[in-house]
Amino acid sequence: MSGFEEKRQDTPWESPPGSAPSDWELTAAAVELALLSRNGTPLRPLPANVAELIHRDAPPHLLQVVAIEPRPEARLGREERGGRPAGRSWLAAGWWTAACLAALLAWQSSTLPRIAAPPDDALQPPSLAELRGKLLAEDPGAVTVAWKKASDDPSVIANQADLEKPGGLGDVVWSPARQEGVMRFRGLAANDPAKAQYQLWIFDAERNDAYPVDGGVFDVPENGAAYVVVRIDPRLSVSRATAFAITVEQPGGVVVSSRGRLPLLAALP
Amino acid sequence: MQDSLLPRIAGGDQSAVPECISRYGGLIWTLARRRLASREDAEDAVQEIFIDLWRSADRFDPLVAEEITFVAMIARRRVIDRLRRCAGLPETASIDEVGAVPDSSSDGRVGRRLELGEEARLADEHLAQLKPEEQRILRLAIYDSLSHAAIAENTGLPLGTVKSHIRRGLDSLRQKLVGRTRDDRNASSRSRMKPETAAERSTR
Repeated sequence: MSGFEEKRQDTPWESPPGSAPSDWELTAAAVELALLSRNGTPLRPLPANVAELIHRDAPPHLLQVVAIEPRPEARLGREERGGRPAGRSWLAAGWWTAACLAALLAWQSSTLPRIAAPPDDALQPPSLAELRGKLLAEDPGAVTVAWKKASDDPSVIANQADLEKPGGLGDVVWSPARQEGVMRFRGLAANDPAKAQYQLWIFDAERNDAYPVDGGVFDVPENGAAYVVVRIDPRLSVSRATAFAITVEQPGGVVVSSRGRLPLLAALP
Repeated sequence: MQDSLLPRIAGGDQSAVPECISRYGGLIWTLARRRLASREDAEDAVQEIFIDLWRSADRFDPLVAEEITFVAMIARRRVIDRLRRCAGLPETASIDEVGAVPDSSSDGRVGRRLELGEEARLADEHLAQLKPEEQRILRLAIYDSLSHAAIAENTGLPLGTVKSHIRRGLDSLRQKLVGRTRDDRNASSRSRMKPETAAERSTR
């Protein structure tokens, strides 16, 4: 171990750039801000030429994001969606109704994917980014859980650094109150929608684990190191989410997954 | 409270970039200048800090910390790392000195006062409750980035006492901030700093 590493072990409030934030470091930062303020010295403005350089050089360093928004017709169809009672009371019809609907959907989606590959007009990174921030900021019950590689499925193509880094594969933000969320990930291989699609499942403490809630199917486009961000809008109410899983399924998804290919899992502690 | 900008940047919203530079540029510049004696070093460091911010924007979680604390943390990391790499020892200039030196490239404009976040206000409150000796040592360690040995020499205290004061003092602040956040999370949506989750720990 180098002297530098020893030094860092001795000072947990100092970590090298790129490490995961720790509460030691955040505390040290809060202390520095507090002491800075105690001095009462005004902040010096950032020199304009430096600000210009930072602005000019920013784009290549920004996270590249491909946002995928579900199409309205991709779920229950326009008529059914329009007639859906408020407050999800249609769920009272129970699992059997939901299963029938899901089966119908699976049949429909053999020709119409529920969440299609992102057309140009679906590339709206700010909207999903804003939704994610909004859920975190406004819902105290919102949870964030990191994706983890669940198997050696070939669809996981993340590099080793991302696999080892907490949140390196992305995460799920889920709002129980709003019954919606945003998941983002990187390191999943692009799929050919004609051959297979990814499908999200939400495990609910109040449901049988054999029948997790279907979170919809989606495609991962070729995007290099970019994040893929997908809105979560399950068709069934989730009482208490315990885990999120992504499986690889036939085009259009399935009603009940065999879980033969389950590349990513995000389990709540 | 201002809206967070980093989630927008993490989502690829380039319009948040100039807002972020405008909001945090002065803070980051001040943090860099007070530690780095060379103006050129500070300019390079600030550019590196913003690149770190763009790249790590997705790691900001408003449930864990306030944005200003997160930004200050990223800035501290980069500046301290630069100091360690370049010189091995920090060359700390006090903020008062930095403030007194006219800055030709900023047209002599006087910056705004630091608008403290809630976490920094809490840290200030709790800091004030520590013994004067502990406060002084924490200041030397966190604010001036002095090594344990340098603090021992500066204060005349044994090295072991210095180490235990720093760790105990900062840990008590950390616990109070974390504890406060837990309470806030239960009471309202204004939740902040929280401990690492079991899931996060298990991924390490």
